[in-house]
Amino acid sequence: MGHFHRPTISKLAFFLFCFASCANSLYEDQVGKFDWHQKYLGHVKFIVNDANQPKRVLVGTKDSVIGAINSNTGAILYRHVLEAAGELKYFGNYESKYVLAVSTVQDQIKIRKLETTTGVLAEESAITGDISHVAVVGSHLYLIDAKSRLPEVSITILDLEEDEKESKRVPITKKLNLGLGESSICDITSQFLVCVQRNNVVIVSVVDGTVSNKKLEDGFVANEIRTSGAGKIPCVIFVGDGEFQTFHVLRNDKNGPELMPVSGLSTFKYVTLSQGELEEEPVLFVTNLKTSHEIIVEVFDQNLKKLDSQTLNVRSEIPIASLETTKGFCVNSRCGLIGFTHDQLFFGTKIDTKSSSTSQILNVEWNRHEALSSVLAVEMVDFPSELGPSWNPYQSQQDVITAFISRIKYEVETLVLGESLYSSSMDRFGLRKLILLVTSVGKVLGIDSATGTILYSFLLPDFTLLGNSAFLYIQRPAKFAPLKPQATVIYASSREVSATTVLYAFNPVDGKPLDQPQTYPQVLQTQMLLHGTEETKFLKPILLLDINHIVHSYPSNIPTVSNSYFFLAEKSPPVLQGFGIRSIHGSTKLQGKLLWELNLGPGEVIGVHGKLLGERVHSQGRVLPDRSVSYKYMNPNVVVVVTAEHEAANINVFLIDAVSGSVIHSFWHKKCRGPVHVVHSEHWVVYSLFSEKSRRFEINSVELYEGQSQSNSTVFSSFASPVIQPIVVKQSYVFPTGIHAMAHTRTEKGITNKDVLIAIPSGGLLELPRMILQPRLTEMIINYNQSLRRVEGIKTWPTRLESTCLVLAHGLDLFYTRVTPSKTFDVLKDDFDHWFITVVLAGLVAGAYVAKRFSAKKQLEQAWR
Amino acid sequence: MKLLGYFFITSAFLCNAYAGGSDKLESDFFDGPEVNIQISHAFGKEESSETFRPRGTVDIRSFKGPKFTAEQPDLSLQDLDLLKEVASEDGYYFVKFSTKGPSGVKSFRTFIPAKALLDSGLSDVLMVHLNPASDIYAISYSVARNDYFTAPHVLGNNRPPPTHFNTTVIVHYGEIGPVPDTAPYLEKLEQERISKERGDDTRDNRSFLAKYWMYILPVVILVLLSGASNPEEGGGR
Repeated sequence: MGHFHRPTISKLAFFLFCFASCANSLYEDQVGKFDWHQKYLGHVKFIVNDANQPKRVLVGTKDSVIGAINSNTGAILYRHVLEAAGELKYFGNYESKYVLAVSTVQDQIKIRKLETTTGVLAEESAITGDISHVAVVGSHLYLIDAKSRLPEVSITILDLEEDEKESKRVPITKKLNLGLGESSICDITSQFLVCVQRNNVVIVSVVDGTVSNKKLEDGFVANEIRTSGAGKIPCVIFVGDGEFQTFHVLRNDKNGPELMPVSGLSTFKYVTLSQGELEEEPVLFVTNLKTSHEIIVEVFDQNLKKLDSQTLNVRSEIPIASLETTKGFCVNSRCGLIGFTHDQLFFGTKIDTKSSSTSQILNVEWNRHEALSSVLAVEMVDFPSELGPSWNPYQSQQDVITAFISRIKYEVETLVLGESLYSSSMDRFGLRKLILLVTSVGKVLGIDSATGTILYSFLLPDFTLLGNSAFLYIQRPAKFAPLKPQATVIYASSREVSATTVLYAFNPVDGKPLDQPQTYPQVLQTQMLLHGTEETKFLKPILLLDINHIVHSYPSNIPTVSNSYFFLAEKSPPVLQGFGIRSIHGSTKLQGKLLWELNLGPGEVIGVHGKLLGERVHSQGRVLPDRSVSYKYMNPNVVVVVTAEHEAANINVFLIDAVSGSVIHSFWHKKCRGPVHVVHSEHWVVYSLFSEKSRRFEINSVELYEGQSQSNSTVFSSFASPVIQPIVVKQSYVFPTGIHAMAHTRTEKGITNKDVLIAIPSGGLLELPRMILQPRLTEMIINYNQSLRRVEGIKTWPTRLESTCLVLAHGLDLFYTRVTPSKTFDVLKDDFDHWFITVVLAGLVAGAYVAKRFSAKKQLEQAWR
Repeated sequence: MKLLGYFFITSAFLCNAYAGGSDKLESDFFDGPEVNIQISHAFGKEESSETFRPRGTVDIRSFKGPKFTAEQPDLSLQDLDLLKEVASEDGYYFVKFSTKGPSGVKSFRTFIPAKALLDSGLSDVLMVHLNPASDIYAISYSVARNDYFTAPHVLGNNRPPPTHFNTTVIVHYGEIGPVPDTAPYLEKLEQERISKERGDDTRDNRSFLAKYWMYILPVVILVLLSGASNPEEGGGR
């Protein structure tokens, strides 16, 4: 009977073989399905109206990014990223079609003329020098240096039109002495440079070089100047210490510039000035922040008469903490406002020219969190499940009744909080996460990874950077419901004169604080222990080593700490220190005890790279061709320390055991320079550098093996004896482009191959299998045509699907996607035809039965013959 | 010992790589100590554990080998008792090395759990890390064994108290960072160019069957399948 079946099966096998074409790359209709890309501009410094198109607002940022946005929606129309090392000094209209951008790049001044409609570069020139301010009057460009050699001010004049005739490019430089101290502050409004020290004011007309001295009220100490910027109504505000403000106007009389007081304006804490045009007449906008939800904009005409009918009342739903830069603008006698706050919130109103109502109440229509262009720390957390986990360690330790009560409590809370945050019951594979970001202005944002929408944002109280960063820890993940998840940020306080460190605990799902901010003496190093216990309510304890080498813990009631070590690295001289934790005799306090110290010789530390916390390694060894196993050297305490000797152009890479302080290996690179990007995981290190000798970028790959036998298969100790000296295998590759950031993928169980993710300057995000580390560029770009600019970091997280890893690249842009380094071996493909396979299977079963009958019949017939 | 053996091989291999640098070592071989390491140590109850006392010296005559002599007086029984006490409290044994070499005086400080040192019977290992200029930039400290009290001994349980320092020196050379090995690739390109000039078609010289087997195989299978039912019919006749 068998021979009827066999052909059918092999036919099917052939059939399936034909259909099993592998889809490795993205199809066109998958664009944006797993990923999103958010573009940002950065720290906005200049907001300029486009006279030709009122809806288009040109924006120039401190970080040398220029672009245009739609003033009604805040959407970016175009964006151009200039030199990362540059600083924009001037950005304003020039003639009717162009915008002029002057920026300093190292010791050069770059003058660019760009088309307003597209931002396309029309003309570019560069001269050497250093400037602090720029004024443009007619076709003359005044480059002013009122910073480096105060009280001396130098003004360089360039004729932009003359510039076109290459022959006459001779800048004229004038030098003036202000007679003020070095600590004076200056700013420019129209063609006047205003400098102030305490209550002494000096005004310089940059066009004719006339200087006049003025004096403000006695006892007034100005510590800030705000001006109305470029335009026909030069105005300036001197901001003093306590709420105290004066307001003056400048006019060009025969006796040099004059100061005139302006009256009739309300002054709250944040007042900013800007200029615009109302029915082709120049006007001055005075913007006041009345409350965090209300802004008042008063409009003055050329003679500084207040136009009461135009006074705007701008309401905002999103709280506005401060005003840094604002721009009023008018379309058909209706005015609107665009503003930028100190915490880098970019917002604007919509001008409805069609509406006939005369009410001057406007709402903030759009906002952009530009703080996201300077991310310090990122973490991802799971959303708490709507149904609650079926089992969690917290509930398993309670008796039935308390568990029941806490469950009911949790359900009620969930109901009250609303569905949106807790409706992830559909997400069985942990693909949807909450991305938690801490930015350099101290703003914390929570982003839904599925859509990229901002769920909440709040400002950390009294935030400044700790060192040059801030620490972010997820102390308790969401799986311990009904206990709330907890995230913790550690940063330096801006309030205290003596340096203190603040620890701020909050719920990462809704951004609500969970505890009073804790303060500690200046903290040098922090670490989070791996396990939370019942005593700490499953919070993983954080240990903080302060400047007096006292160890604090949060929460403070932690059980005894054993086997914990701190590791400190000083930049210059490159000294590394290891500390053990000991309890002080006769008290419950903990103390850090210096155990070892290592000076890595000349140069300075440019990077310290440990392994990611709690990462899993699936395989302990690697099978060699002769079937023997080479065991991986998996010391969890290894850190890669990179030092640079800048003068000799040497890069030294050290592999150091951070617990015992012993050196495991070292690589000495001659005639190389950074930046050195390091990826460190399992038993391997991949790092990139630039070879001065060969003038090319190189990637080095290093693997460490214990050898054919394993010293201890269950646990690794840095104090094991005899100490294991790993076998070092290394290889070096030429990389065709520079590198902005580098990271590696991680998956839940570590079975999937690891890929190295590399952000390259052309805007690509490259996924390079570590197995090859041979760059084959185009096929492996995971962000297809969405260029990412100035990527500063790449972060990866595992999901509950072993094959899948989530990736977030941050820099000027945010880009989120998922990658599958070993392909989606545990997922059916998107276009998997469930119907087809069902029909084929049913057909096969039916066919088998029919064939069986036929076969039986035939056999019977044959038997009868 | 296995470990040492391995390491000698590596260091010998590395020395070959810097044959130019090792000439100096050869000539300096009889000229007296190349590097002198002064060892001092500190252990005890928390308060007094920071006072370092001299322990002895190690003279390295040559990094090649390495050839060294250690001069260390035995630990007094009093100190051994103290060490035992520290070990029972999970305390640390601190060591300080100061070296006098051609590049001046350097000092290194490190530690080991006191218990580990005791269990080794004071058999310790100094790993001297050299940079490519053969200068010491770090000294790592570890123990050679952990079975002094458990390993079989000729005197059985009456083994002598561990008071004698048995120090081994291992030299670890820092590696010159790897550079891309471009020569074979360029060679391959050159060979391809030459064979192209000769007119060899190196692109695909597999046989017809090897190239198109995937198309032939289904046809063969189909033929076989359709043929499979025929013999029966033939047999029937």
